[in-house]
Amino acid sequence: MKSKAKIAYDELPYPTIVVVGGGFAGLELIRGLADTPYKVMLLDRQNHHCFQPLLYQVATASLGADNIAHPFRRTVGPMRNVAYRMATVERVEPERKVLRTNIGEFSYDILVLALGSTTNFFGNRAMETEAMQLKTISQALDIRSDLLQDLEAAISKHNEEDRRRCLNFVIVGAGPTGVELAGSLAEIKRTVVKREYREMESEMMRIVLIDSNDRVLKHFSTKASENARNYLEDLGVEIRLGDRVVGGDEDRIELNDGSTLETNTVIWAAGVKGVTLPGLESALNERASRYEVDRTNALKGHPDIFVLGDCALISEDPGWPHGHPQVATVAIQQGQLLVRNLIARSKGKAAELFNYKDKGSMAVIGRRKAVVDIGDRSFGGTLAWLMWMFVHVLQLVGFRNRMLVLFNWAWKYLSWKNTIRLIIRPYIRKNTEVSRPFAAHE
Amino acid sequence: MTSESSSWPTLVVVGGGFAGLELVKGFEGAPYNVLLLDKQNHHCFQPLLYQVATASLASDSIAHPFRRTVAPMANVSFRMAEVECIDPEKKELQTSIGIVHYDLLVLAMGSTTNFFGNSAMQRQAMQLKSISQALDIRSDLLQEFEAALPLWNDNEKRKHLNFVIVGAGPTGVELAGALAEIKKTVVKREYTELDSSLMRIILIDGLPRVLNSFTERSSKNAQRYLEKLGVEVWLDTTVTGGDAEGITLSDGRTVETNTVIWAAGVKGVTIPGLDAALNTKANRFEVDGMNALKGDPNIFVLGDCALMTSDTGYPKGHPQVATVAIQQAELLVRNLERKAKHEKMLPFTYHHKGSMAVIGRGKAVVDIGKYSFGGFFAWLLWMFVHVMQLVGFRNRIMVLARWAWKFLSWKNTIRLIIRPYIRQKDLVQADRIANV
Repeated sequence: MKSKAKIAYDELPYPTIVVVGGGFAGLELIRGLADTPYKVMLLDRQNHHCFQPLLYQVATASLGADNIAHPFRRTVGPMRNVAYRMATVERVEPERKVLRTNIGEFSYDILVLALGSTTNFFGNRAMETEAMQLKTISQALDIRSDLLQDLEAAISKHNEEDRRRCLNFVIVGAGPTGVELAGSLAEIKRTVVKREYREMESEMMRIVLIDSNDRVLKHFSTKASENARNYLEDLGVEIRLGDRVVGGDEDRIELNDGSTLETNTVIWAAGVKGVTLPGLESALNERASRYEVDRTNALKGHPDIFVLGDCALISEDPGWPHGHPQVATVAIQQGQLLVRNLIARSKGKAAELFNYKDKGSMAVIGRRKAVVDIGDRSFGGTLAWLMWMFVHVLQLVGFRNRMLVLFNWAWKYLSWKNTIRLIIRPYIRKNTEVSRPFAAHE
Repeated sequence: MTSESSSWPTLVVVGGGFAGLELVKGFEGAPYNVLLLDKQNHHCFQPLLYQVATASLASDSIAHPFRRTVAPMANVSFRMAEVECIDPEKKELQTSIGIVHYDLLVLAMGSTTNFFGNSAMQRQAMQLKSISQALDIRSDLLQEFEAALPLWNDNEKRKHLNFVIVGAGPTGVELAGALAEIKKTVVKREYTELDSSLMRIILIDGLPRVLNSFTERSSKNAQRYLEKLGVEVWLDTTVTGGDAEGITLSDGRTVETNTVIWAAGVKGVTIPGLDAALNTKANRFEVDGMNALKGDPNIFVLGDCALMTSDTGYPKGHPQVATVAIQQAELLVRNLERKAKHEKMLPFTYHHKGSMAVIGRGKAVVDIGKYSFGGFFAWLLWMFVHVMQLVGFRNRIMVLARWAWKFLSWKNTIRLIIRPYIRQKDLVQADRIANV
């Protein structure tokens, strides 16, 4: 019966909306547009939605990759008027209203770009080659492999200097991702390394968190920043504020004060930039790498193209003159508004303007250590930690994923261990012999 | 090493598969310094690899970190290392992390895919012996569906939707059954714009029946189940050649396909340095009845890479299966205890406990002793035995939960392409894209 319904997809007499990117904004939009008088086509390079806020837990062996991913086809399967294609968009041709992709051309009546963001190295070439990133599941698994590989390498090194290089973990950027990652690594040091790498002095493992600002979590309240800093230092994280990484190679990083730090592993969490596509240069703000849109998220000069989330720049929302922060809640709220506006449009009604409601910020540092800012209130500790878990589980896509994440967290809480300590595919640095990746498959 | 100061002999175990892990557990608290070496950091439960490949289980539910096993054992250590060669005169191993000395050496390296000299298949076919390979198959399978869907021409679609499995042993049969179920559930419901009847699963074997090592009754049942699920079973047929377009068979037929999975055989993994005792035909090390390497009483070889011809009933060696490996390891633990007490070591006798294979929901075949049965009860027994054999309580819970979920939802849930599979021929292009 269902196949009949889907064959009808091609024949739906509705305008075609093509949505590029199935992140928070794209997914919100798809769900809202189910059973509306539009024919919707979702395009994404991946075949699944990834819940990015928990990527660091995949990187630190607490969650399985599948726990935070949800196949698009499972979401789209029951929706009559929505189809999905795994495709990479190569160019937008707004004059012809066509997208060029690796699987052919797609015509649109309305185009929605929700491409998200990627790591921003701010022109730091050395870091671009050397540092690891944490924006995709694949990158998270690379960090997990690298972390475990470094621990294994350290335990078989006889020279203390070599051992230290394997055990120095540097995180650049003390935003939520950097802070959460640093906290997790510190817990791994205190539990996994101490108990399972007994032949090694666990105190040799160092976690260094570097940020050029004068406090961690600079977008949070000062109280939250202070709490987070105390928690991190309790856990043994070394925090270096006001420092910048100016260079480095495969064995070390160089800081702006001239000092160097020997390390194999640098994780860059210092910033993101919008993902863009060729073809819409006239509306692109190159400095921010985001598309300039009005308060209905319509692209400047293109009323049929909407841009949402991290890659959109609204500068007319009072209170956010430099644009909104590149976070999930903005993307979701913009997706929700666009659904309402598109439905209004189909009925010939006027569009509403976007008005960001900041619901607050939260970050977790470790077991019963988290910070939460809501409205004027700021608090930390066990309550904040519970709240953080509650909010994240609810936001996950898929009932099964929620169950799995809860199970894995409960297991971790009781066992005091990050359980998924598996090197499935070894991480091979770009500079090591090219032949290695294929050796792993043999 | 915590126990380095003691005067205990050093026992080095290479490979933490079924035999190696059993051995390490058996030596907990024994008067040996045990060092386990493996190139992976985890044990992999190979019998369920096909479920990782077909998106039913996550890779972490069938893997168990060695350090978790070894941590509570005061006399056992683990190193992630690749052994490059053995010097039996010096009693040394040359490894990726340096020289390792041993007093006693146990080799339990397991097996790898045997292409029997078919170089076309070696290049083209996918394998299923490691988690990484299983994830490649999962990615490839989903990539083929995604690639087929937007094509206009049915003939072009067919190439993406023909899945060929070579070898109808337990792995091939289980894989074919799982793919057939995916066709009936996932493809039908989630690729609604695709005509699911275009997907074909072809199981090829050179022998006249599937599951050749099982009873004839089980073979017949298995074939019936497979055909009921829509698998095309082509027997007495071998693959003679292949390229990026498809494969050629011994009867002259050709099949256009992107995906060939080779499950037609395994061969022992060997390490240079012990060539005198290596049977190059079987690619296994010749051992006596106590699993001691011919000519070197300080080296023992277990499981898939050992060839023991002294066990009556198995003059050509034992089958390369988990139960042999486990039983040999159990015996070696006892024999080394006896040796320490200057008692005589006991020769190995394989107790064949039976064979089982699952084809699909409520469909499995079991041979135990003289009994051979199939159907729902066999399926339950198969699940019970496999869950019990898994390493780690958490993994057992996870596997049970996922099977229950799959049973209720009729879906293979982990349909994720985390790392796209890139064929060798496409690698040059992929490098180009990655560098942009």
